[in-house]
Amino acid sequence: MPHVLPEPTASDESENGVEADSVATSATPVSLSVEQTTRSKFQRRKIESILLALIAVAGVWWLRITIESKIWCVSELLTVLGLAALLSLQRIHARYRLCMFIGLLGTPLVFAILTRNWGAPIAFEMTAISSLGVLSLAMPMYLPNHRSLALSVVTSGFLTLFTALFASEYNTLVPAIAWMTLCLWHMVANHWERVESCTPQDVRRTTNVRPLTVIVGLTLFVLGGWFIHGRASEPTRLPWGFMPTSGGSSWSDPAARSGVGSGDAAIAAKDHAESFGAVESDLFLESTQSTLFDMFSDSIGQPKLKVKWERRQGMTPEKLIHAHQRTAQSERSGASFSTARDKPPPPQPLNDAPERAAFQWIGPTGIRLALNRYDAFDGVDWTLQANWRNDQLSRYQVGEEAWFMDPPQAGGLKLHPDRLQHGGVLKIIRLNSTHIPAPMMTAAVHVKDVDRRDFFGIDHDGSLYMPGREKIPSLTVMHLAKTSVMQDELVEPNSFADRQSYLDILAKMAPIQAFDLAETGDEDIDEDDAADEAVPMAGELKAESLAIDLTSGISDDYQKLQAIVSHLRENYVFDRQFVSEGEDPLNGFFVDQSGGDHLFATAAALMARAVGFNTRLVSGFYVRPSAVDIGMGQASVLPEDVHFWVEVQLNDGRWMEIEPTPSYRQPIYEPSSWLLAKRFAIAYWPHGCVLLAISFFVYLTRVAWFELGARVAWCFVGMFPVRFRVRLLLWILQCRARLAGKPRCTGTPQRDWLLSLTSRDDQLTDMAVECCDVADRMAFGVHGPTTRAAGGWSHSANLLIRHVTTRYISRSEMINHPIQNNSVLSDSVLGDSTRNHPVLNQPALNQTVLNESVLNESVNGSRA
Amino acid sequence: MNAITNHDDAPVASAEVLGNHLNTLREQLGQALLGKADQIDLVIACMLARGHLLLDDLPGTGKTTLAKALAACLGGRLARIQCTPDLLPTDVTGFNLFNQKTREFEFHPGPVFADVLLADELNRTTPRTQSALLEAMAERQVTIDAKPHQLSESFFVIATQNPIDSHGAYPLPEAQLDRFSIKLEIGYPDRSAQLEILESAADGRHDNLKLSPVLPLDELEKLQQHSSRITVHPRVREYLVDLVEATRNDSSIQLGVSPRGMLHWQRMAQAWALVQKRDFVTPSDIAHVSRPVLSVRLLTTHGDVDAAITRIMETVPAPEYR
Repeated sequence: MPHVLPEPTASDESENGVEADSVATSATPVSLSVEQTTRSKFQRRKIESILLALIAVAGVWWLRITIESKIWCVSELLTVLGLAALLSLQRIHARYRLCMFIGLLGTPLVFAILTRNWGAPIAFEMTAISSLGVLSLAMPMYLPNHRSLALSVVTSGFLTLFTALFASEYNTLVPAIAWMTLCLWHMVANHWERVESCTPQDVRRTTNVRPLTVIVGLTLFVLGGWFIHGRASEPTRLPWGFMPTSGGSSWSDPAARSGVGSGDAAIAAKDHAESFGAVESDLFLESTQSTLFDMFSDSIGQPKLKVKWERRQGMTPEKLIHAHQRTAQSERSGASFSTARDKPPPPQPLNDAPERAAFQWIGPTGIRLALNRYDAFDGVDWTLQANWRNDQLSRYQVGEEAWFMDPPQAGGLKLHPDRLQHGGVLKIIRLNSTHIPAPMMTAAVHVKDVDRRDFFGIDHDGSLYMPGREKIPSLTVMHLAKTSVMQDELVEPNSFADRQSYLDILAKMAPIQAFDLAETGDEDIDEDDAADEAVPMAGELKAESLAIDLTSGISDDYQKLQAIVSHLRENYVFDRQFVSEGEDPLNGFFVDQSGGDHLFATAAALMARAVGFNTRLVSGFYVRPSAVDIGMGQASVLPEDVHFWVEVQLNDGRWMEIEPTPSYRQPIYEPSSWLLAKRFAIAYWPHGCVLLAISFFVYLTRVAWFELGARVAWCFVGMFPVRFRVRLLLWILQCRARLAGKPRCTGTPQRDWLLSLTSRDDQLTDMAVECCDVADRMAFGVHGPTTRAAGGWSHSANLLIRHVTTRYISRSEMINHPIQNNSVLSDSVLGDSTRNHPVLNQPALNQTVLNESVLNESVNGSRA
Repeated sequence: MNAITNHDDAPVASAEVLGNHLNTLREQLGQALLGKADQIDLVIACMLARGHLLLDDLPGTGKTTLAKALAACLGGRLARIQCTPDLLPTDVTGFNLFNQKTREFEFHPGPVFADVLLADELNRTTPRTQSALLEAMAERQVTIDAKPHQLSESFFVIATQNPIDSHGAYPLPEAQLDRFSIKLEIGYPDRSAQLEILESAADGRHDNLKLSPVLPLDELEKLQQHSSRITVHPRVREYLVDLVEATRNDSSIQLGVSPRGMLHWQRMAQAWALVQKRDFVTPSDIAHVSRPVLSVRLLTTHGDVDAAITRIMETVPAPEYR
C-alpha cells in the first residue's frame, strides 16, 4: 500500500508529531506570513492537547471520587488545576514555572503520602494513573513542542481508555466519548493542515517503512507468546456460588464483598476484621465448629449431638444463602448410591493458610487489651479475691444494634451507649478464652445479629466474657464501646479510691463459689492470704519503702502515681529472659533492676498500694503500633504480644491503667483545654506578664515601629515593579494616616488625598504630583509611564516616604474630602502647583507628556 | 514626527500647537479676571466639553467680564442678550419679516446665531423666553416657522444669574438647567488678587486691556474633538456610574442625575483632564468637576445641595491605584 511520507529535513524535525508519518510541510524558506500561520496552527494543537489532557484527568478523578475520600480527592484535583493554571501563565519567571511543573508532577505523590498518614489512603494504582494524567496535562504547558504534544495526546488517550475499561458505572463513559470526539477533531485538523502546506514534489511515495514496522511487531508478539507459553500458571476458577472474595472492603474496591466462602475463601474472609461471612453463613450448619448461629435450637431445642454444642441463636430464613443450601443438600444425601461415577477430583491445591494472629483489632494502637485481672498478691502469686460476677447485663437498642452493658457502669455513671465512645472492633481468630480482650473502661459489647442477653456477662475479675462456652467462637466480630477519663478528673483531689475501702467492699462481697475455686484448684487461697499478710516478703517491703521515698513531698495523687511509674520506667531494664535467683522474684527485681513486664507490673501495683491506691494486676495483649496493616487499617495481635500492666481504681469505681514497663506506650489521658490553659498559665505567667508589658510598650510606640518597618521594607522594594511600589507607597502613607488618626475618606481619590496632605510644603507637593502622575498613568492611562518618568518616580517616592511621616500627617490640616473646600484645594494645589509646577511646565516634559498621549495624534498641516 | 492619525483618521492639530493655544487662552482670561485661575480652567473645560455655562453669583464678581473676555478670546461672533422681563422669544431666535419690495419673507437671525451667546441675568426674563433657548442649547439649531436653522458648530451659551434679589425673577426650569453643563460660582477674589485689581484699575491697565482672539474657532473645534477622545478607564467609568446612582438613591435628593447629566459629567471630566494636559481621566478629575456639574442639576427635597454633594462624594469609594 503506498504511503505519503515526509521528507525528513532539519527544519521539519521539530514539527513531526503524532501524525509525522502522514504528510509533511515543505522545506522551502518560510516567509513571515507562513511563520505566523505555523505559530497559530501550533497554538491550536497546543490548546487541543491541553483540552484532551483535561478530559483525561477529569475521567481519572471521575473514577476516583466514587471510591476515595471526597475531601482529599477534590482538594487534590483543585491543587492540580490551580498549579496547571499557574503553569499556563506565560508571564511568570522561568524558574517559578519549573517549580510549578515539578510541583504539578509531584502532587499525586504528595497527596498519596499525606493520605497514608492522615486520611483514607489512596490506592497505588490510582496514584500512578493520576500521575500519568498530570504528566499529560503538564507537558504541553511546560514544554510546548510537537513531540511533547503528541506524547501528551497518547498519554491522555491511554488514560481515557484505561478509566473507561475500569469504571463500573456507565456515566464514566462521558469523558471517554468527549475525548474521542475532540481527538477525532484534532487529528482531522492536523491532517488537513499538513495536506494544505504540502507541495506535490515533497511527497515521496514509499512502501518500505510501515510494513517493516508491522512485520517486526508481529514477530516480536509471536516470539513473546511462544516464550511465555506454558510457563505461567493457569488461573484457578471456582464454581459459581463458591466464588472466593478478596476479603477486602469497600475501601480498596466497591465491588469487593466482605468475605464468605470456604477453603481459601474462608482465609480471605479472615483477612479483614469486619468481614463477617463465615460465622453467619449456613455453611456451618453441618459443621462441628463452634458458632453463634443455628437454625433450630431456639425453636425446637438444642440437638443432642455427640460433639459438644454451644448455645446458638436462631437465624431468620431470609439470611440463608441458597447457593450454599443447594450445595449442602446435594452433598447431604446418603440414601442412594450410584455406580456411575466420574473420575475422582484432582487433589485440591488450595490449603488453609495458617493465620498467626490471636485476634484482629481495628481501633487505636499502642493500647492494652485486658484479658484477666488479679487483685491479691501473696509475695509470689497473684490471685483473685473479688467477685464482680454478673451474668445479667442490661440490653440497649442503638438503632438496629443490640448492645449489652455492664449495669454498675451504666447505672452508676448514668451512661448510655449513645454517649459511649467507639472502643474498637475485635475479631477473634484463635483465642482460647471466654474473656473478651478489651481496652480499659470498656462498658458495652455488641455482636452483629446477636440479640441474646445470656451470651455476655461480667466474670469474677470484672472482665467481659461469654459465659457457658469453652472459648469465644473463632471469626466472631465484636464491637466494643467504652467510657473515657480526662486528665482533669485524675488531678482533682480525692479522685482515686482508697485501698482500705476496697478491702471493706471485698469483705461484704459474696465469695467466689466453691466449685469455681475447685475448678482452678486454689482451695487454700484464703489461708495463704492470711499467712502472707502476716509476714510480708522482702520484695514487698522494698516496694513499700521505695514508694514512700519516691512520693514524699508530693501531695497530688496523680503525681504520686506518675513518680512511681517514671521511676520504674527510667531506672529498670525490661528483659523477659532475665530470671533472678531466689524465691522472692520481686526482691530479685529490685536488686537486679531488671525483669519481665509481670515484675514491673507487680512492683508498680505494690508500690501504689503502699501509698494508698487500690490497684490490680492485669494480663492481656499489647497492640503494637508496628502490627498495623496500613492498607487494611487493622492490627493483628499475635500470641507473643501478651503483656502485664496495672490498673488503679478511681473513686467512681472505674479502673484506669498505668504502664510501668519501659518500651510500652503509656496510656494517654487527654487533658481538657481548660486544664492545659491552667497549666500553661501556671508555667508561663512571668513570661505572660513580660509579653503583656512588651505588647503594651509596642502599642504605645507603635508609630515608631511602623515607621521602622515601613522604611526597612521600602529599602528592599527596589527590585519590584513600579506598580507594586505605587501600591506599597500609598499603603504605607494610608497606614500612617490611620495611625495619626486621620484616615483617608474612601470617597477621596488617592491623588487628591495625597496632594492635600502635602499642601503645606511646596517641594513635597511637587513630589506628590510627580508620584501621582506616574501612578495615575499606570492605573487609569492607556499607555504606561515612560521609563524616564518612572525613573524619576523613585526619587519622589523616597522623599515622600521619608518626609510624610505619621508625625507630619498628624500636624497637617488635611482636607479630607475631594471637593469640600474647592477654592483652597484648587488654588493651592491643583491650580498653581500644577501650572507653576517646575517639572510639568518644562517644555521638554510637556512635550513628553503630550507626546505619549492621544493628544499627539496630529497632522503636519495643523502646525503650518 | 508624531503625525499619527486618530482613531477615525480625522486630522487633528499637533499637541504643541494645541497646548500653546490653551496656555495663551488661560493667560488672557487670567488678565481679565484676576485671581480666579481655577474658575477660568473650569470655564475653558466647559467650552472644550461643548457644554454651556451658567454663572451664578453675586453682582459685581466678574461674571459678565469673564463671559465677554471669553468671547473676545475665541474670535468668534459674540451676541449678548440682556434678559429683561419684556424680552420676547423672537428677540432671541430671530424672525421672518415680509419684505414689501421683494414680496418675500426675509429671515432676520437672532442673537443665537452667534458663536458665543452671553445671556445676562437669565433669570430676569420670562420662562417663555428662557424656553426659547432650549432647542438651541440642546441641538444647536432653532426652528422658526417650521423651518430648522442650524447654529454655529461652536455655539456656546454663557448665562449669568443673580442668586439674591428674587423679586421679579423667574427661576430657571429644571429642563433648561439640565442643558447647562456646569454652574459656576466665581466668588470673591482673595486679598492679593483684590490688591492687584485695585492696582490695575488705578494705572488704567485694566481699561486698556486688549484681548486678541487667540483661539480661532477651527482650533477650538479640534480641541473639542480631542477632549471627546480622552480615555476613560473602565474603573473610572464605574466610579462615575456609582456616583450617579448614589445621587438617584439618596433620600434627600428629589431629582438625581439623568443620563444626559452623566454624559455631561464625563465630558467635563475629559475636558478637565485635557486642561491638565493628560490624555486620560483620573478619579480626581471626576471629583474635581463634580460640584459644578451636580449643583446645576440636583434638586433636593430638603437641605442644602452642597451638603448632599459632599455626602455623596464622601460615601462612594473612589477607585484606588492598582
